[in-house]
Amino acid sequence: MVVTGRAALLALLLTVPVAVFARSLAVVLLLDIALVLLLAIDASLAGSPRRLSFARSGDRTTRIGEEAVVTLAVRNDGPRVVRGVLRDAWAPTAGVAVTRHALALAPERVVRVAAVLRPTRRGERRPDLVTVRSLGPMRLAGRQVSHAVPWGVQVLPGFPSRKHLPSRLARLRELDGRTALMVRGQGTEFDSLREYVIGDDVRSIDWRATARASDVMVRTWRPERDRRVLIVLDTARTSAARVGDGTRLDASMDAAFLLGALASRAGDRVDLLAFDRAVRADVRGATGGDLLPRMSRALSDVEPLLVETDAHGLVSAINARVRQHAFVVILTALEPSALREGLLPFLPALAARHTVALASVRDERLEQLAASRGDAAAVYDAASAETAIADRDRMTELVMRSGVEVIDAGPDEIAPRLADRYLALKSAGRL
Amino acid sequence: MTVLDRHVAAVRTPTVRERLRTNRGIIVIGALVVLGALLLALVQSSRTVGLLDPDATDPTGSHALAVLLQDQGVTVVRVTTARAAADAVTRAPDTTLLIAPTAPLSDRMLQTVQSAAATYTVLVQPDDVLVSAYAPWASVSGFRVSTDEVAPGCDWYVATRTGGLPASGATYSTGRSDLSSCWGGGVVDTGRGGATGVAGATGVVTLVGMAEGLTNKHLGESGYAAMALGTLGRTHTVVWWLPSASDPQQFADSGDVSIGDLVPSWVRWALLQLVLAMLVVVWWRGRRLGRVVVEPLPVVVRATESVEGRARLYRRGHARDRASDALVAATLTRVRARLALPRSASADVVVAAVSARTGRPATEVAAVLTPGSSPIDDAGLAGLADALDALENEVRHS
Repeated sequence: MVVTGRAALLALLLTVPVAVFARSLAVVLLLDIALVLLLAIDASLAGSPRRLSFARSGDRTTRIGEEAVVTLAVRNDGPRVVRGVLRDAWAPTAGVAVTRHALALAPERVVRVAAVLRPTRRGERRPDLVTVRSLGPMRLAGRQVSHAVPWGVQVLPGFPSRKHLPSRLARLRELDGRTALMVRGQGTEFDSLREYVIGDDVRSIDWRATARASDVMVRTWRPERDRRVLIVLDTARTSAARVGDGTRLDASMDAAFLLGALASRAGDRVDLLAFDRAVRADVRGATGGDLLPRMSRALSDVEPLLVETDAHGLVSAINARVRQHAFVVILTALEPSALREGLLPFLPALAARHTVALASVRDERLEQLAASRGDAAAVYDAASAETAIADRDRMTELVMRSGVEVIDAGPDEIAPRLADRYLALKSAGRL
Repeated sequence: MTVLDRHVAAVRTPTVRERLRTNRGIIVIGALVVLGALLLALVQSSRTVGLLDPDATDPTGSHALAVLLQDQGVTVVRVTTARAAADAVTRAPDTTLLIAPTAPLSDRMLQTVQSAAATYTVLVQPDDVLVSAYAPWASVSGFRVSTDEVAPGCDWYVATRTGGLPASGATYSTGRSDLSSCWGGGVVDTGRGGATGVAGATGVVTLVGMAEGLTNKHLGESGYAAMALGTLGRTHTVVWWLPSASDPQQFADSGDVSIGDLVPSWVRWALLQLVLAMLVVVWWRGRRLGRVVVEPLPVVVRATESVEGRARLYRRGHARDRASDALVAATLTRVRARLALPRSASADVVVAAVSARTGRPATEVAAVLTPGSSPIDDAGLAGLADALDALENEVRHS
């Protein structure tokens, strides 16, 4: 049983007759017992909040930054009107602004209330209980019952770097057969012969063909297709760091999506692996338009774990997935302590077999700290940050020396920079 | 509604019946506890404990005496307040008022009690205040503990009928020879216990020093019972007053009124109703609309936490040498890149290059870029940082 503000007001107003008429304790108690009886009668006259049926319908998936609508249908199975308030509770990060709805439901009637989700966190969002408070005809008291009405909305990771995709795809087309490539590299294959136009590199003139034809012919090349790309996400300790608005893992995922979208359009086969001490997400053999949805689904529930990366296990997992030469992108952090005892010893062997890139989301706060001046505390902060930057730069050099490409950029920059590096390697035929 | 017919919802709030069933154990235990407490209260109320209490059956109580008196046809009226004592005395035509030494009496209590005239007044082990109020002709002379029996030594009829009594309790002396000072009252060196009967303005007053003779424990010894019955059995009603420290008249002396007397009675009831109304407000605001939603959140670590921690360590340890080395090394690295010098270029090479580029004397540049010693205080460190910044700016803009 619940009471309303009206009941409290009534109890307060009872003070007046008590002050005027009451001459003993018994009178006061009698009045209040009468009040409680009135509340009980009102509550018992309320429509039963128990005899309600519920059903949900609506979106099953959404993306961070987008909206999802889940509708809750309520039917009154009882004989009396249910009047009061309904709370459709969701977890805070589901981002449901309005969870309370006024309710006035006649018997056998159905009403629908909509929950508009603007999720702020990826993963499965489930509603909590639906609570109905039904008030009596006098609005003094009522009854309250909670119902479990299950549903689930899969919140996929955001893809804010999607805006960089069109420009990179244009660059890809330039590389691709549609625009002939004049430079020959390792990963390029012969495309066609065509007539020489002014401006072509004279080195690409095919003299044999020129001799056969009446005109000067040049060879064109195009980048090889069907290369293997393996994107590896490190989900261990260093990925939990807050960088910019989200965690390092969020920015890494964004970069993985852009690279995946670009590489799959370029005709390469893209696989994804998320790893800390075990495989957290694994996407293999996805083709074309299937890749991004599968990546999103696989990564939607992946969260950072406060453990050290099992570098040996990670390298074994990589080797188990790619046997031939491949482009392996490891999205991790250039954190000296974590790398030195982790991945660094394995990098030379890995780089010998594959083209390896290590992409790290840089924490720009470190640069801000290094530039802080003013009082002694700020200068000590700067000195500490400079030490950290020097360590990081030394580690970058060590990684590069083992034959690994290094991409170190802030959370907004990492995705386009990684995409650019991919395009550069592709045009150089190094994939 | 076909969708709704697939009944997917489950009620989570238990009904009253379900709640009773699941909490059966707790309810049964609670009921047993309440029942036990009630039983205990009932049993204890019939066996009260208290000094000289006519209802108390413990060794210091006086239930035995009360029963003896009732067997003799005497009604014992037990009162605890001065007002009730005075009322009981006035109600019966012929009464004996017994005042037990359970609490000190205030002037107002005495006035109230003395406003009603009892035929006999028996003061049990009275203190100075009570003695001076009822028997100004007597005074407290001492206290004795002894088991030796003492002869009455007076001609009071109760005393002569009783015979010898153990000389224990308070003794009272009186200068008047017309009073019966018994059980040692007439002996010069020891006044061994005494009951002094006197006809005064407030009826006959008897001082009984040997209070323990009236208790359950000692009533059966020698002549105590005879003495007590003789003293208290002179009328058909005994008003047995056990003064209490919580008597309403205990503290409100000489016409003073408490704040409670000044406030009109309706205010009290209105306040009570306000408190009850507040309870309803608590009930209204205290009930949540459904449970609190809990959500496990992923861990987020501040990326620069270790860097900031090291900075605090530097500061606490005044590690100006380390801090200045780090700053100088960072500047050297950036200047080398700026001036296209190899990374292996030594500081001296950098100093020479900077001097050539900016036109500043080499010694001046060297003082900043290759300081011989670390700054002596924090201000010096901040100065070094500023000097490094200035130098780097010059290199950048030259």
